[in-house]
Amino acid sequence: MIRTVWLWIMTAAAMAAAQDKPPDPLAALEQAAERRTSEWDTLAKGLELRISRLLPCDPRVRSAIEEVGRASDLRLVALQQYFQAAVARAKDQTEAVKRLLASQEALGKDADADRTDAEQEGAGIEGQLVNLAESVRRRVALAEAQQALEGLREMTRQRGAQNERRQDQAAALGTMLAAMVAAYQSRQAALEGEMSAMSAEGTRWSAYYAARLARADTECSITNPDAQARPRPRPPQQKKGKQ
Amino acid sequence: MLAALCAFAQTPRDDYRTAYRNWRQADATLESDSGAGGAAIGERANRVAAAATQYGAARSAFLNAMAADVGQSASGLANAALAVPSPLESTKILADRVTAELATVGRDIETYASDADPGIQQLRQALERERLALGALSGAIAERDKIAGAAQDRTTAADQAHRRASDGYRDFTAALKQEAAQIDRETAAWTAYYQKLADGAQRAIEVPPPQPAPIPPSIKEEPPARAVPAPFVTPLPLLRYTGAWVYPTVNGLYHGPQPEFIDLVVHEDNGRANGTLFGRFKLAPGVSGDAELRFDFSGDFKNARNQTFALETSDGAKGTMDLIPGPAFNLLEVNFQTEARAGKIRQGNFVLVKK
Repeated sequence: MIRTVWLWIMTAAAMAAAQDKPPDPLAALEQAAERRTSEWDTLAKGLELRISRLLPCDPRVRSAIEEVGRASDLRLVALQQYFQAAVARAKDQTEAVKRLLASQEALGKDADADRTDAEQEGAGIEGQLVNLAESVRRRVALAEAQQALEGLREMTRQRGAQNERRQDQAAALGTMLAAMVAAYQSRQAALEGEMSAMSAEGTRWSAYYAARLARADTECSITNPDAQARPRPRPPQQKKGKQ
Repeated sequence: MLAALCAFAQTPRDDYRTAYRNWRQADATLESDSGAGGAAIGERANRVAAAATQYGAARSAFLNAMAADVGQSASGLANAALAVPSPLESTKILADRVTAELATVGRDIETYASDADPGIQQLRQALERERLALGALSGAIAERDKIAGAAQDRTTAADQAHRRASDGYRDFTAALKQEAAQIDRETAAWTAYYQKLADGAQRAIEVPPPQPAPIPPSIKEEPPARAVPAPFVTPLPLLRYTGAWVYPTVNGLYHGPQPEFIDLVVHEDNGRANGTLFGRFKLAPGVSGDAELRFDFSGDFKNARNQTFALETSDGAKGTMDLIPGPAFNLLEVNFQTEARAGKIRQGNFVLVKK
């Protein structure tokens, strides 16, 4: 008659629901950044070897440097996107913990209500005990009830002590959450700092590839001024990022 | 999560406070009057016991609701768990590459330093600009490395704070549940107390009162002492049906709605049964309605193993209840069904253990 098999069905349904969880967008951005970094790394490592075998005015020199520069830009854009998402998530998490802290503080303010209730219950039982003691003098058969009521007084006291411990735990939890908010804010600031540093480094990488390209042009111009490849302006950085 | 917090803000203390007032005001002179004795005390005690049970249920429900909300906040905290950002790339490799490039460019500059050829000088200047760019890049990489290290440290610190708070939530939720369980035990003890009060008021035995014994940490109720043993009208002893029964807190057996708790009291008087069942059930996710159920029942004991009695719920629905003695002496299966009422539990089947 008792079909506990339903428990298994419900457990299986809960597990199936958990498997439907959408993929983490931050992980996707992280993978994209790693892919761009790997592409740039492969090109950058082989750049000097590739162009050392070419004549100074060979157009492939310029295109090789530009290709690495573009890969560098794409990598930096991907890293920026990853850090923007990481910072946004850190901010959301900080806000979520702040809300938890606020609710915990509200609980702490409610502690007095529990104490008042416990005192009221204790007083109620004391009153019953006084009244019952009078009755026990007249009717000894009520002594069992008296014992039971004394047991209830003790149980209520025990619960009062439990309640006090719970209030202490609530206060400790509030302290932990406050520390957590501070730690999350600090982490969020650190991630924002890392994002800014990444942006600054990106500017330096662009400047380096521009200088490297200028050197290649100079090498061509002094080797063969007439055949110097016409310098082509590099496209704007934003457009490269979208390639 | 915010919704959970708002829901908690609405969790009412009013329910249990009203129930407490009702209980305390139900019969303020019951204990004083019990000394006079009489059958009327029994009826009055039953009424007050019902009010005490209602208060216990409301108080327990309040604490369980708080525990559920705190548990939900704790799961919200799990969502704020940190995925420590893995270092996307090694700044050391970048720094090494830039350092190597700086060395190469530096050597070229040295090579061309003493060459006065204008073209070579032009090249040397281009190399100088490249070296400057590499130097700036090297500094930027070092700066980012420092900042990334600090970010990792702070992420680790935040992760530790998260773990501590998770532990704090777990302890706090456990404390709330323990307190709710204690309330449930007290509620059962109040029922037993009022039963003893009623029995004592009706008993005519005058013996010296026993000295109050040390109070045990947990109250175990004995079946009410009876001056006269109950007559057997059933094939099994009446004690297989009568007394106080509860739904076990672990490994409970049920079919249909899952009970959270059940308190059943069955009395027998001259071959006639009466009693009360009070319980709360777990509603399926997404299902709204009244999870609590209370009904009184009565009827004659029959010469049959399974006993069936008529019941009436607190909101007037009628129905029947079967009491089926279990395989062990302290087990009793209950099967009930009532008229349909919107949002109300109307049937249940579970096994109770004797208190």
